[in-house]
Amino acid sequence: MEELRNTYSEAETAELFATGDSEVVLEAPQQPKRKKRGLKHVENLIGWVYISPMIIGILVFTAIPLIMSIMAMFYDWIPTKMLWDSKFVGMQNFKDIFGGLEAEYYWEAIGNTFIFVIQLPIGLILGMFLALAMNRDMRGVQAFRVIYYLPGVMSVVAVSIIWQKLFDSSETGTINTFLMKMGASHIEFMNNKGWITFVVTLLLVWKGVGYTTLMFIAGLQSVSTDQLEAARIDGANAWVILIKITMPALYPIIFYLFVTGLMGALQMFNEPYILLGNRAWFMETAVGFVYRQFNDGFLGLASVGAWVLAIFIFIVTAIQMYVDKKKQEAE
Amino acid sequence: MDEILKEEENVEDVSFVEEETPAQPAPVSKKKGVNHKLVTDIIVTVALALGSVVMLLPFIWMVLATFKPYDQINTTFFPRTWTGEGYKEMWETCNVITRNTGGIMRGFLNSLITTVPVVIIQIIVSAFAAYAFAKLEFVGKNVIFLVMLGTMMIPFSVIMLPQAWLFGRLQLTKGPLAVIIPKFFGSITTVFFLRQFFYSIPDSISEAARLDGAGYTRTFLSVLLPLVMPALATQGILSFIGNWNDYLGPLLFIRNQEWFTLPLLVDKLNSDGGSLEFVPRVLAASLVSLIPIIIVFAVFQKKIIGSIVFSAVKG
Repeated sequence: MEELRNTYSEAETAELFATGDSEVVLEAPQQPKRKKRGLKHVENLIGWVYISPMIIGILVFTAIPLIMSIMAMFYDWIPTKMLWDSKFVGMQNFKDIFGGLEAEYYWEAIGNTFIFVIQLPIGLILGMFLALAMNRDMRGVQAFRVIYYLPGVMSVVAVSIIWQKLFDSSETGTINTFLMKMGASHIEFMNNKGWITFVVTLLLVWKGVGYTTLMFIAGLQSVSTDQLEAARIDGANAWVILIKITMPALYPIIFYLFVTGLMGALQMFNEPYILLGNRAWFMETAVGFVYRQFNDGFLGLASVGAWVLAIFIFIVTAIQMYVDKKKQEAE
Repeated sequence: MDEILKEEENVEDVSFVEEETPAQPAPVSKKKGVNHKLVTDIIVTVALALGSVVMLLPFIWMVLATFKPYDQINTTFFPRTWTGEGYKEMWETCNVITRNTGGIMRGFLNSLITTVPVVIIQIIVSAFAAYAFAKLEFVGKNVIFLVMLGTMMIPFSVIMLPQAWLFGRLQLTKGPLAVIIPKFFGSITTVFFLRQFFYSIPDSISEAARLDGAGYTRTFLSVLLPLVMPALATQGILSFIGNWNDYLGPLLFIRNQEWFTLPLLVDKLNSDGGSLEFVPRVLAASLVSLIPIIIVFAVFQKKIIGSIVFSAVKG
C-alpha cells in the first residue's frame, strides 16, 4: 500500500514537473496528508462496522415491513398467502375504511382514541400542582416522588387488571359494593362509554402523573433563582411569580409532554383493551381496530387503518418539528 | 447520574433559602415567615400524604385481596380469614395454560429469556453505534443518523403487521425468538441518548489513548466505555422495565401458550375466567408478575428518577 502510494506520488510529481513548476512546491507537504487519509480510511471502515447491526436491523425490521405495509393497502392480503400472491384490489380497502363496510367502526375507533386524549390535559394540570407541592425543601418530598412515580413502572397488564376488578360492572364489583353500602345504586362501569372513559382516564392519570410531576420538578429547578429574587425584591407576590416567571419557564416542558403524550395517546391500545377484556369491541381504539382486523386475517384493511392513524401522528410530529425550529431560530 | 441528582438538590436548597428569607431584617417578621413556612409545609405534606394513599391504595387492595377467599374480595378491606388458596389456584391454572411446562415459573423463565439477553445485547450494540456517531468520522454519517431519527417517527402500529406476518411465516411465533431477535439490533432512542454522553467526553482523552497505540476498538472498550458506564446502566434498567412490561409486542409475536411471558400469562388467566372466583388467582398472578419490577425499582429508584430529570433538562 505504502509503496503504491509512493509510486503514485512520484508519477504525480513527474507530471507536475512537466506541466508547471509553481505547483511543485505545494507537493512537498502532501506526504503527511496522505498518511492521514489512510487513517481516515480505517476510521470510515470502523464507523460502518460499528453501526452495521443497526443498519441491518432498520432494513430488515423497519424498511421491509414498511414497504410491505404500503403495498398491503392495495391487496386483499390474507395471512396464509404471500403478499404478492394475494388478490390486487386497488382502492377497495380505502373504500372500506372511507365510507364502506368498516368505515363506521374505524371512525368510531378514531373518535374513541381522541376521547381518551382527555387524560393528557388532566394529567398535565395535576402533575404541575404536584410538582409545585413537591418542589419544596421539606421532609419526605423524595419519598413522595417515589410513591407517585411507582404506578408508572408497573406492568400495564397488572394495573389494568386491578382497575378492571375494582370497577367491575356487576353488583359484586368492589366499587359497586361500596356504592351500594353507601346507599347509592350500582353503576355498570363497562357498559357505558362515559364511564369507560372515566375509568380509563383515571387509570392513565394515576399511572402517568408521577412521570409528569418529575418532569415538571426538573423544569421548576431550572427557573433562574436570580430572576425569582429580583421579582421578590420588586415586591411580586407568589401568584404573580408563578404566572410571570415560573410558568413561562415551564412552557418547553409542557409542550414536550403534550406532544409526546399525544403521540402515545393516539397509539393507545393496552389499557382499554385489557380493561374491557372480552368487551374490548365496545370502545375500541384505532390500534385496537388494526389489531382486530389483523387477528381476523384482513391484513390489507388493517394496513390502511394503521396508515390513516399514522397520518394523524405525522401531523403532530410536523407541528413539533416546526415549533422546535422556530425555537432554535429564536435562540 | 448521581452527580446530576446532587446538583439538582443543591439548586433546590438554594432556591428555598432565598425564598424563605425575607428581605426585611426585623426579627418579628422573620419569625412569622418561619411559622408561615411551617404551616404551608404541614398542609402540603398532609395533601401529598392523602394523594399517596390514593396512589398506593390499588396495590394495597390487590395484595390483601390475594389472601382473601373470593367471597370476601368486595365485602371487606382486610381479610377476615387469611388464605393461600388464591396462590394455589393461580399455580394450578397457570400450569394448565402453559400445558404443564412449569406454570407461573415458566412464565418467569419466558420473561427472563425475552428480557435479559435482549437488554444486554441491545445496550452493547447501541453503545457501539452511539460511539461511532459521536466520535468517528465516516462517509454518510449525518445522512444515516437522520434516517435513523426518521424511523423513530414511524408508528409501531404500521410495521407491526408485516413483522408479525413475517415472523409467523418463519415459524418464529411458536417460540420467543420473534420478540428477541428484532431487539438485538440496537435501540435508536438508546443510541440518541448515549451519543450525548459520548459528546460530553473531551476528544483529548481518546486521542491520548490512540497516541499510546490503542486501536479504535481498544480505545472505545477500555477508555470511553467505562466513562459512560453509569449511563449504560441507567439505559439498561429502563430497557429492562420496558421489555418486562411490554404487552402488544409479545401479544403479536408469541402465539404459543408455552412461551407466554408473564404479562401474557396473567392476561390469559384473566380473560379465561371473569367470575368472582377467579379474582384471587388473577390478582395473585398479577402481584407475582410485578415482583421483579418492584425489586428493580426499589434498588435503582434514584437512577430511574434521575434519568427522567436528566431527560427533562435535555428536552
